[in-house]
Amino acid sequence: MSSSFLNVQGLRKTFGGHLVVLDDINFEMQAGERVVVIGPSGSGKSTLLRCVMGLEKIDSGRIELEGTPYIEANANRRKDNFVDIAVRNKVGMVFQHYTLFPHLTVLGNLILAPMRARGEARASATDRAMQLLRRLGLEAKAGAFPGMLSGGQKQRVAIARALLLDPKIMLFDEVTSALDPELVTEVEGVMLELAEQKMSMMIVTHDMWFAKRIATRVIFSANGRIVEDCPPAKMFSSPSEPRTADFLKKVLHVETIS
Amino acid sequence: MGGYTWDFSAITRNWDQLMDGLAVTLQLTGICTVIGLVGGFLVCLMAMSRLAPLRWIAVAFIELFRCTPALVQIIWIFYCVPFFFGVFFDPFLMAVLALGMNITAFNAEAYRAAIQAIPSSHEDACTALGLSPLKKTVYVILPQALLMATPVLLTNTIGLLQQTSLVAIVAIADLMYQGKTLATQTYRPIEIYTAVAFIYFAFSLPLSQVVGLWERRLRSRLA
Amino acid sequence: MNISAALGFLWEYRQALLIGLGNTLYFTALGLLVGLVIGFVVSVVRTAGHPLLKLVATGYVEVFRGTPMLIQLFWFFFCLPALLGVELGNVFSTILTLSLYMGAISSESFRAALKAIGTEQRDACIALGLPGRVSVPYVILPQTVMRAVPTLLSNCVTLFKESALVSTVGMADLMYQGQMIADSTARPIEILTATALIYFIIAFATTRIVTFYEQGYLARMRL
Ligand SMILES: Nc1ncnc2c1ncn2[C@@H]1O[C@H](COP(=O)(O)OP(=O)(O)OP(=O)(O)O)[C@@H](O)[C@H]1O
Ligand SMILES: [Mg+2]
Repeated sequence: MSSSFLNVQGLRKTFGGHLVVLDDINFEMQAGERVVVIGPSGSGKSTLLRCVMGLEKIDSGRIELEGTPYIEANANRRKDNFVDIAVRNKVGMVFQHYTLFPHLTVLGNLILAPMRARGEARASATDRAMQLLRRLGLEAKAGAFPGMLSGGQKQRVAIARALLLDPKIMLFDEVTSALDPELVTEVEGVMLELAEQKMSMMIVTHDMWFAKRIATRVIFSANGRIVEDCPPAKMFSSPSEPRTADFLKKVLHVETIS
Repeated sequence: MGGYTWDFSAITRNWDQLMDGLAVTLQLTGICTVIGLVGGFLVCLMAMSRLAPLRWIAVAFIELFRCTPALVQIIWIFYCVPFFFGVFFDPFLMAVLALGMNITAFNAEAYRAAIQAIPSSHEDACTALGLSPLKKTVYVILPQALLMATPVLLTNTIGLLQQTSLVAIVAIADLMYQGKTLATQTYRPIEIYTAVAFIYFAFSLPLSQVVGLWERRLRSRLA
Repeated sequence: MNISAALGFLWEYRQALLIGLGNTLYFTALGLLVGLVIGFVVSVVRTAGHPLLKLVATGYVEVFRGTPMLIQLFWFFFCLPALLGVELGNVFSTILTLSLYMGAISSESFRAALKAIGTEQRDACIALGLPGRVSVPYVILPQTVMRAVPTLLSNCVTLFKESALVSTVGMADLMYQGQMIADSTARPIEILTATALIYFIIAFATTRIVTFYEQGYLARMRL
């Protein structure tokens, strides 16, 4: 047991046993921190988030939230992971492709889990959902189906859907990558607002400027390992690892950003 | 249950008769498959032609045969063709006519769906590349359409194999008919009908496996 | 041929034809109801069941799709009762055959729809902490049904048409009545054509509904 908020210990993840995607990842995070994960394509950033969410079966290691292990690899690798669903439900996640339920309205998407999985009354769930939608400027869209929304609106609804479950930590996997450029800021705005409210977040993004703006800490991962882990100011001005500098140079076309 | 004593000699003793029936079934299937592949394509072309009357005839033909039971088609043709034309064709020929038109209609629809599934961007790309309409059709549209239509055409062929059993009702000596005859002759319907079912299944299963394989390949190639 | 005389002749036999149509619809509807339940359960088992169950379910689907319905009908009429040593009743055997046939063909439609939902929706369910008792009825089932409806409706048309086969084992459906009248009056043309038209109108109307649903509803939902 440790005192940290989120604690990933010895996490190893392979696909089919031979393709090693995450190799002995150890990392801790305090409440209120906003950790941005950057790294080359295929380096396992999405997989890391999916493991923390409990979407992938891990090969070894364990993940704790507030001192309680909620995902733990079984010693017998053929068996399923141990998963404490009550704790896992304190983790929220937003995906690149929205993944809204197309057959439900915006409001229906929001209140499904509170009502059906948590037993909240429809009136109270609807109340909270409408409040949240109002805050995000989506009140008028409550009755619309996802197919009729813009990408930015869809992604904000997806964020609202996760927030309505009062998560302790939110995971964002490239949530703006599928959006038209002019819609990116409306989604980033919501995330910055969450940052102001001290929401704990893990964010995967390819937008280094946004990373610099929102992060309290940046992790550079490559080949399934954490190569560098430091505050954004240091990461983007004077990274200590040559591999990090190399990567940043490629994606930014300049030495550093300030 | 369990009280029944199986007697497979009913099958072994009459194996030749079943095989005679199978030969008729396979002949019917083979001939009608060829008719369906060619005829279906022609009717599909008609259904997509610029001439409205041609289109109407083709569409009416397709819908008529797709929206009535094959049994009704066979019985209708057997009863009514001699009446209208005043001639009695050989029953086998009548069966070929009925089943052939049926499969033609289904295949025409398969071709049409495949052609319509090709994105219109390909047409634009062909124009941009300066391909003539003929070249566009021969080199770009047709190969793709055939590739996509193949699983459906094969499934239709499996369906045809099974539909041929209907000709037993008009006394053509196919596999089903021989089975029926033997079932009454030998008083062993269980063994005979099970054997007949197995024989049909033995021909359908490999075909349906090919369909599955083809579809998986298509998905990975066109993904 | 004189049209008004033909219509007058048909009018005389309207009662018998209507009874036949009623039976056809009754058999089809019951086969449909039971078959859809079987089909959905089988598709879920084949997508996410125990390997042994999966094998059984796959075997069932392949056998019923790979043999003519005629032989299935004969088997359930003449073989199963003898094997079990009990009287099943003709109506029961009829509906059993139609249900099992519908179960096999509709399970394929359900399965395709289940596959199309994709892993992302399942991920979203986990991320929202939806247990199976919520995600299956509120997320997976509605989307599966909505996507499967077009193919399921064509399955219904297929079943409706295939149901004409029950006339061959003496069930008094539309086809049977039509043939009886044709034989007893020696006027096959009018009566068989009318029978075919009744089948056509119902089947064709259903296929139009499919198109309407696909173009309107599904497109709007962008499923
Ligand atoms: N379901 C899967 N089965 C097999 N391999 C997978 C699967 N999911 C991911 N991978 C592989 O794992 C590696 C890491 O993938 P991941 O999606 O985590 O990368 P990423 O860092 O998020 O990349 P990107 O920046 O492109 O999103 C890749 O090589 C990928 O091909
Ligand atoms: Mg990724």
